[in-house]
Amino acid sequence: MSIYLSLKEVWRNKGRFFLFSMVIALIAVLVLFTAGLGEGLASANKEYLEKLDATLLVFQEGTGYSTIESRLDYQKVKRVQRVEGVSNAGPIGFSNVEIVLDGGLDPIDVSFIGTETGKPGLPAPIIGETIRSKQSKVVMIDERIAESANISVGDYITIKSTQGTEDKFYDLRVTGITDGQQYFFQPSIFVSLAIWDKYRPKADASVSSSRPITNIIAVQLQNPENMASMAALIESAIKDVEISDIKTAYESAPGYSAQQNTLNTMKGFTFLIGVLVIGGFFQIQTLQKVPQIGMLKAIGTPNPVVAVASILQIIFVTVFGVALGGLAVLGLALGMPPSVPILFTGTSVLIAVASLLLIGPLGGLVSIRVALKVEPLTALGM
Amino acid sequence: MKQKIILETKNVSKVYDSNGLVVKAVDEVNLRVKAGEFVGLVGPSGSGKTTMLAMLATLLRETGGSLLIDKQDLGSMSDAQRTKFRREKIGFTFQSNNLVPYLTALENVELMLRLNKTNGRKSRERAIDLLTRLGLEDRLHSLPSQLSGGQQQRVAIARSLIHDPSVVLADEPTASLDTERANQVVQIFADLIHEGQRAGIMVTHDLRMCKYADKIVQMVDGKISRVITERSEIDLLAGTSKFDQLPNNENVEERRWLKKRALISQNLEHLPAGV
Repeated sequence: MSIYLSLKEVWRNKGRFFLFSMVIALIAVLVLFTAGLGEGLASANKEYLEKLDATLLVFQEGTGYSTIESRLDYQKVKRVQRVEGVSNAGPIGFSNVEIVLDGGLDPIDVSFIGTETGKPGLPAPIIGETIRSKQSKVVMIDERIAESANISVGDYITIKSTQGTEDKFYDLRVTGITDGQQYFFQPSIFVSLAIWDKYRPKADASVSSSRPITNIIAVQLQNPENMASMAALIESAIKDVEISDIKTAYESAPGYSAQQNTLNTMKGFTFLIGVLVIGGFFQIQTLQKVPQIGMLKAIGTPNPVVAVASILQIIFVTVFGVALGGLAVLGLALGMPPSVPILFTGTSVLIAVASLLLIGPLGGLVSIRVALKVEPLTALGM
Repeated sequence: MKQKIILETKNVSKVYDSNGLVVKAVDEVNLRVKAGEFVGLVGPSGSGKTTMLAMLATLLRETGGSLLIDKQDLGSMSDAQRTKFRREKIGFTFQSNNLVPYLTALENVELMLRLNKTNGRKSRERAIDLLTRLGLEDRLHSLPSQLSGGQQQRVAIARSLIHDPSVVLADEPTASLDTERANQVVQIFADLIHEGQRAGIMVTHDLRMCKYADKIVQMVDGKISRVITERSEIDLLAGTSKFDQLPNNENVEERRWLKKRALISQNLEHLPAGV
């Protein structure tokens, strides 16, 4: 009976309900895009760290887990490696360079990451080979660079690095292509730590590289469940370091939390607007229907039938609106240039859609309460 | 043959107590309506007609006395039982907002069957027959907004009868209709009550409509002040006696009738037209 009443009402007032579904669809577009943007920006910021095959990261003490601020002596890598319970440890150096392209194309800004073969920090290639030699002038590049600059395995790329006050250009042979490995909103390229230390931009070009430094050390544990105790053990064994897990590390990246909090606030407000808009619409509609609801109750329609009919109507309209919004987002996402940092992951989309579907009944709660409180006596004008 | 009593009230009262201010809306009313009897409930505003109707429709609980429909005591029922009783045993026609605006005429009538879970192909045929009988065979699939006021009231009448109720109640069913449509609607209503051997009660301000009733119950200040059962008196009240047709106002008989009708109507709010 409830389904019959709610479907009939929606069907016979298609125009009104369609327009309202469009409003919900636009809210859905906004929420899904904000969720996608949040995910995209977060991913652009943390993709490399998130995919890192390590449990703990070692930083210089007092740097607040900042990969840029942290400077570690290479000897510390060996000391970490010797701590009992550590299965592998590898240095990671971060910097930024430009890939210079022929044919007047704009250079590509990339994260320049130095790692060691066989150590955590060097991602596995999806095409080609990994870096095998410490001194080889070879590089693995992020698939985004390969796609945008049409670079294949075996090609040479030229990087521009500022040494002192001079721009220097270095050629590197592409040995492999990795999956998406963005860091600091840039795609990454990977070289051996020795090459990285030699080519990375330096304030003083004459800095010796006989004792390379690293920014952080990625640590694999024999038993990753002992993360907390192992972090304490490493901190006590090695002077002047601080340890974090991967999540803490990328959440500590400059601007990361502020950015995510801003986006979450936007999402929250969009949901709130959605709840209020839906609530307002159904509230006004219910108030207009008070005499009709009174009549229905007067002829013997039980209260649960009236309530369920109201809920179902809200659900139909919300589901239709969210589906429309979802389709619109899908269409827009397909036509979106890759440079736009929007990423739709299954989890984020599911959470957004579930929340959107929830705001309908949530917004309509007040109107349902009003419908339930209508006295059948109103049919007699009493 | 003695006809069965379907509806009976015994000293039924409804008292409102608001911050010590006691108002007796209905004061110890005794009323009996037999099967096939159509009762017109009249009286000035505030006389307790609508309160009486609301209690008979199980929409309002009495504060004293008892109400029986089909020998079932309405006062002893829970709210859920009263709702069920209402949809099964009572047919209702209201003054306005009678129909569900997004259901067609046929669907509005079938609504009662759906509520009672008795809808099906045969029930649908019955609904169509009833609407056809009411002259709405061409308007079965029209929405209420596409129907005139009279047509809407006829659909409401069909809805109030389709589920075979024991009691049919009507609250000012002609309030928004012109004279011709009002006569048409109430006549059909009365006919169907007589045919179905139901108990029918119509609250009305329009005394002309009383001519279709078998009994007129007049209420004043919550009490029954007069019950008229004589056909001639009912006709006089309704302004439809043969004297109303007389062209000559000087006629002695007519003057006598005018006096009598004025006496009958002295406590009523609206006198028939021409008096």
